[in-house]
Order: sequence, then structure tokens, then C-alpha cells
Amino acid sequence: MSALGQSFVFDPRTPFDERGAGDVKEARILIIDDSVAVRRAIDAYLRTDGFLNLAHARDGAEGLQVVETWHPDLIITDLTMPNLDGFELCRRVRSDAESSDIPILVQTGMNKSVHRAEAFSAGATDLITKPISSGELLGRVRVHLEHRKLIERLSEFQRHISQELDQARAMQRSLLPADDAMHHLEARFPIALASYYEASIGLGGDIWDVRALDDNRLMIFSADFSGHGVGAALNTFRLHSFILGGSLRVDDAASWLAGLNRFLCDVFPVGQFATMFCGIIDFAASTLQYASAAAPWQMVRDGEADGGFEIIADPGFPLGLSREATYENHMRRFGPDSVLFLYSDALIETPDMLNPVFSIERLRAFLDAHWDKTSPAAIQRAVLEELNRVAPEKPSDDLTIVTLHRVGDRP
Amino acid sequence: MRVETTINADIFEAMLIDQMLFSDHGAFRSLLKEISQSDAKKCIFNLSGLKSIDSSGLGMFMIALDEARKSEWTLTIKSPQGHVKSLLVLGRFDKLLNIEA
Repeated sequence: MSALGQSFVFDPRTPFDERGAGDVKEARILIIDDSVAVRRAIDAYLRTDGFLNLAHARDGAEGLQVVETWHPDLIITDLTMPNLDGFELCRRVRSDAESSDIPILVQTGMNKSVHRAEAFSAGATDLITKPISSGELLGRVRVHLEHRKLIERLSEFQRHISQELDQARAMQRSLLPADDAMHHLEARFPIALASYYEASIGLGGDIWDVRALDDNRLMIFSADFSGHGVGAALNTFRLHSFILGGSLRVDDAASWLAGLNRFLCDVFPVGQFATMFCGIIDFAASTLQYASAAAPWQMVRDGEADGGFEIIADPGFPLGLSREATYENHMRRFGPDSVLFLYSDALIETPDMLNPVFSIERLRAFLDAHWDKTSPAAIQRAVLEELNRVAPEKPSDDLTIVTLHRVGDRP
Repeated sequence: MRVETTINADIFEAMLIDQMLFSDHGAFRSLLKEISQSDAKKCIFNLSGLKSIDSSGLGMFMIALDEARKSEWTLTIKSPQGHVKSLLVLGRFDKLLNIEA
């Protein structure tokens, strides 16, 4: 780590000059010039101003060696030198990831704009016109060192935030059903499951779960909190903790949504809400009971009717907007070979809401065309491949897809 | 989101145009402040030029409703079209908001 890259507590409100400008004086400065007199003059200017970590090199080649071994915070170089000139030195410093961000001040007696442009093109950060005046030299040195220090602070802050987000992302993923939990349900019930989740900007507001209610019934839900990022993600933790707390009984889909709605009305500020689909599959009765809280148009396929995928379009209040909201139970047949395809709205709003890859009807037709009657994972893969083929950019919202296939009943 | 506003007597009408997204939150809050600081008794959000809306945008209408109650003006959502209208129907927003065709 360079002398400038010390640990710190970043507070963007503190003016830069109050955050230890003294550190700048500890910076390592490399002076490259084939003239001993010029090196000594620059050295003297810098020492007089309090810069003590100084190194000298006689030409570009020697300068590069010092850069590799000493890692300076700033380079002051001449342009015309034997062995390796200042232009090539700049190019090599810039091409090495280890040194590419070191500010390079180039001393030049070349006053033609073409030469100055060539120096900048080679990678010079700034130019100092010969003959060098101590005031100009010190001013530029300070500016570029402080600039570098600020960039290092911001980079460090960014790394810190990035690590925090990685940790939060892992925690959020742990809210979703783990593979072994899904395999356990697949062993207990005649189902095959597949799921996909991708947060749009680090953290997201989607959550889904599937769980056994008893030996014959299984509940599945998918929720999407309004907004994106940290705020929406925190709401998924709220919801998960509340559900896990077990204070809400699952009698039926609609009353469960009503219970969640009352909880979220208590904790949400005005303007936040969640959409949710909740389904309860009864394997003995071969039914799917479901209720919707403004969830997007989910898809269901009745395996016995074999009429293809149908769009579930029942309206319902979003959760968290009105304590008085009530929800309706709906019932569908869900015999062997039936499929429930749940998704968050990013699937029908990518790349944008007006021209999505999948309109609702196109999604339904695509599912019909690609459902091979065996593998929920395969149809999800086909959907994602099509999404990625037409709109390779990442969706602007969190994307969740969950597919549940009721396979043939076991004896 | 683009906003075009007119004040006629005590009616404040805001045309909300193009898209209402998460990123429009700041602009929408400023609009609400402007409405509350005017002498308007009634506010109309005209959505005839609004082509799409995300969940944050729908949430903004609820924030507007809350602000209307606090600042004693009434809120009407007018002429939602296409995708916007579908989402308002799907979420039964007509039960919470005064929506005119």
C-alpha cells in the first residue's frame, strides 16, 4: 500500500483539507531527468516545501525500475532522455495495471500544441513548462496528490460498500428455498421445482417460498416489494421474519394474504407496498386454491385438460396499502401434469415496459410452445435464453421465476 | 417522467407524460409540494400521455393521496391508458383512488 493509501473512516461531508492534508507531504515522488542539475533543483523545491520521500532516476528505463520497486504516488519526468524517453515512459506506466493511475507531471520545453497533445496522448496527467518555477511545480504537485488521495478514499469507500453488499446479497439469497429443501419437497410430494432469482442492482425486493402445510397440501408464494435496492431488500427480511415467526396461520390463501396485509400496513411508510401471489395445492383434491395481491399475470396449466397455459388475471389489492383490503380465494383444477409458472414483473417489462421481450400473451404462447411436459428447469432455461437473446442487458428490476410441475401421482 | 401543469381557478392539473419510474420519486415529491403550496382545492393527474408505470410509480399515487388528505385537497386520476390502466385495475386502485376514465 502506498503512503497515501492508509486506512480511514470516510465521511464525505468533511472538507478534504480537514482530512489530514499532511498525508500529502508523505507521498513518494519520483523525479526522472537526465540532468543532475534539474533533478537537484526539483528535489530542493520539494524538500523546502516538506516533501521528503523522494527518489531520482536518470532516464525512463531507470525510472520504470523505480516505479516497479518503489511504487511512487507521483512522477515528475522530462520528455527528452536517453534509453527511454518520457513519452514511452508514460505509455508503459499507463499500460501496467499496477501503475496506471499514478499521476505523471511532464516537464516540457516544447511549446507547440502538437507536442503537448502528444504528451497527453502518451499518458501525461499534466504539463509543467520549462524553466520550472517552484510555485507552479509545488502547486501542481499538491493538486495531483490531493486528487489521487481523494480517488483512493473513494475507491476504498466503494470497495467497502461492495463488500457489505456482497454480504447482504448472500443473506438475502438465504431467505429463498435452498436446493436441499426443494429436493426434500420433491421427494415428499409429486412435484418438480425450478427457480431463478437475479437482483437488478445488488439487492432486490423479490422473495418466494414453498412449504408443506400437511401431508396433502403445499403452499407456494411469490412476492415483489415496490422499489429497488436496499429499501426493498429490507422489506423482504421483514416479511420473511414475520412469516417465520408463525403468528399467522395458513387457513386459506386469501386470509393469509389479509393477515400479511395488516402486518405490512403497520410497518410500511406511505407509498410502499408489495404484490404477492399465494397458491395452496391440495394433492388429494387435485386443486389449486390461490389469491392474488396485484401480482402480475401468473400462468397455470391444467395437465388433464391439456388446453395449454392460461393467464391468471384476478385482481387484488397490493399488500400494505389499506388495512381494510380483503382478498378472494379462487380455485382451479390442478391434477397430474399441471404446471404453475410464477414470475416477477421484470419478466414482462424487459427491456422496457412498452416493448417487452415477453408481453403477457407472448409469454403464454412461448410457454405453450416450449413446455416439454417433463422439466420445469428446461422451460425456465428456454425463457431465460429467449430473454437474454432479445435483450442481453440486465433487467432493470429484480427477476424471479419459479416453476412447479405436478408430476404423475406416485402409487 | 415529464410534467406539464396548469392552474385554473382552484384546480391544479398535472399531465404526467411518458413513464413514471423509481427515478421519478424526487420530481414527484416536488410536484406534490408545489400543489400543496398553491391554493388549489382539487388536483387532477391526467394520465392520458402516460405510457407506462412501475410499482414505485403506483406507490407515488398513494403518497399523493396521503398528501391530499393532509393538505386538504382532493385527488383525481384521469384517463389512464393501456399498460397503466391494466396495472391500476390489477391492483384495484380504483377502490383507493378516484379514477375517471
